[in-house]
Amino acid sequence: MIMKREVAKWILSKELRDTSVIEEQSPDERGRPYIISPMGTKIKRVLIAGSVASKNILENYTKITLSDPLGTFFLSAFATDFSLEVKDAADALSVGDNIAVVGRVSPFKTDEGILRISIMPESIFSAAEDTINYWNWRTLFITRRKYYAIQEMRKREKPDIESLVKLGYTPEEAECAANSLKYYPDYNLQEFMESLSSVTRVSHASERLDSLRDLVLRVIKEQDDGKGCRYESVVEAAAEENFEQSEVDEALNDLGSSGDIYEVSLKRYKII
Amino acid sequence: MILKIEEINGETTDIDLVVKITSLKKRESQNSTGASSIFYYGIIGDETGSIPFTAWQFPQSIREGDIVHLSHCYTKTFRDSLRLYVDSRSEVVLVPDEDIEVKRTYRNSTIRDIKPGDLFVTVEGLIEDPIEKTYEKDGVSKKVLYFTLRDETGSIRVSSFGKSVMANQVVRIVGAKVSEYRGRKRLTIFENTQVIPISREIRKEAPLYDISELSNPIDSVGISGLIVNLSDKSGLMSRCKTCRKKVIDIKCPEHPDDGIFYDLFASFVVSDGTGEINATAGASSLGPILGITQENLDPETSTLTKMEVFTRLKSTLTGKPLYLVGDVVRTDDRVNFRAREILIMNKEKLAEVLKKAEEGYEI
Repeated sequence: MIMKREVAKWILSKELRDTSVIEEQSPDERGRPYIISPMGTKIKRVLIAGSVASKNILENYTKITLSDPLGTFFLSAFATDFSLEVKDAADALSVGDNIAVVGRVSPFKTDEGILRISIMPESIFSAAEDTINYWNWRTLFITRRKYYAIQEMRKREKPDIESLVKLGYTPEEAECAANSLKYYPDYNLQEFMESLSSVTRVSHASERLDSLRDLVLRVIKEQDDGKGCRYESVVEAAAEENFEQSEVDEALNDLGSSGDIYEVSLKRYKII
Repeated sequence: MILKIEEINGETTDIDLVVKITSLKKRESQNSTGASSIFYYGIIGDETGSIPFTAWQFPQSIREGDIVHLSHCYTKTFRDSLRLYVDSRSEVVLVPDEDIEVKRTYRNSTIRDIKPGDLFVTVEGLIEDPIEKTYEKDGVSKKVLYFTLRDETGSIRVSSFGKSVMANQVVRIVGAKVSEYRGRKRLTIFENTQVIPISREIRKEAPLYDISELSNPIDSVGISGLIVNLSDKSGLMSRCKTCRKKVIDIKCPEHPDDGIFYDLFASFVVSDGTGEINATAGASSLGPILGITQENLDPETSTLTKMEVFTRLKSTLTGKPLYLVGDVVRTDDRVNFRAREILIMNKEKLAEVLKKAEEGYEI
């Protein structure tokens, strides 16, 4: 019999960290059980992305912590016959590297009965900045849709998947909402959503800074009269696009630090 | 009680109908033990509408055009469409010397919403790439026109027998027959199908879908995602110059003297967070992204190795946000994606794709 590949869920670290439910299995079910997150996601495999925050190479495995916008994931890459390539990839990582990881979740309970979940990587991919942005935004999008579905489900006396699908939610979103209602009826969704909002605000700020950097580079290139582009010219052009002088100063500092521009004389800039 | 077709409401049992057999076909199927059996399928209709049917048992004397009284039948949804079933408990009795004027019902549909179970539909779209071909039937040479019909939801291949159309014309097609061929939906236009030019703007742009939205075949659609698995069968392969089949050895066993050419192939799984889909891509989409030209694929001059191409594929495609345009095809009751174009998203494309996510917040 061909086993269906388990779909890798895109979830934020906070959703995994707040997970406290392992689905009960009937005696004839084989394989690891699903864990069920507060957003109702049934998870065996995940696709996560972020920046390597720490790495610790031990005898039989390598521990990695991976940061996303809401916290950290814990990864354990074991040196088994089937995963030597992944262990090597984990060993080769440096702190600060951006990666995307597909892996299986491995839940265990502490002596105090608290559920901890680590991720056993199956594939580790080097990720560009665009990949991290893409994953962040898509995961926020998916999480928000689940949130709205849960809000809708909470209005009902009992879980009704069909009625949510009729409203336009996907069957999976509706099932997540039903799971959330069943296993986490008292979960503080409001607090969760506030965390998401903070990520959105940070991301918007980052996008704004990116766009200012592009503008500054363009102005310096176009208005270089041979002696370099005047600081005032950059500030004027940026003001037309509603950027503050303090934002321009920050962008000029960033571009100087990254080696894209240099100050040829006082308050005059050139592209490198 | 004898029902009219329009009175059939969802999945129900013990249905009695008097209908005209408007189409009837026979097919042989094999079960898992290899035993074969014959079943019949087609379309029945009355004054109120039409419905497809499947008969596990059916009198051999019944022909297309006959009026029959069907009793103790049941309906069930098959591939998103309601179908009438005739089984061993049903009765099929010929009603001689009667006729029924069957009402043709044509549901208005977008290309995305055309279901394989639809009989005929009315659909609007932009005509692209018409090609005329001739074929022989009963010793007479006839013409058929093939073209692509595109709307805002995707595109579909159309075969037109007896109706001519022009490229870049937007038309409403009333009463096009729906079928599925090799996992792809198709429309067929016959003499009695209406093709009416209309004034409507349709953009020549592949619509972007979440993977979870793709449950039926549709052509020319876009998806975004990350690769979660790249098959190690991907990379460089050899094909026979004559039959184009994959060649394992250095010669094609069927055409050993005809030579081979190199081709690019990738099989991978794409995930966008809403789901995963198996995808394949060939040289036309992989070549540009890998920087491999047709000249590089000539075995006489090529310096490419399988390992080198696989490594290049892996480093180019994995860990990158991809935008893919292609066709959704059904294989063995699941859908696959055949990529015709692959882009690594730049900031602009990324912003465009993520805009859909923003819009999706509002249900």
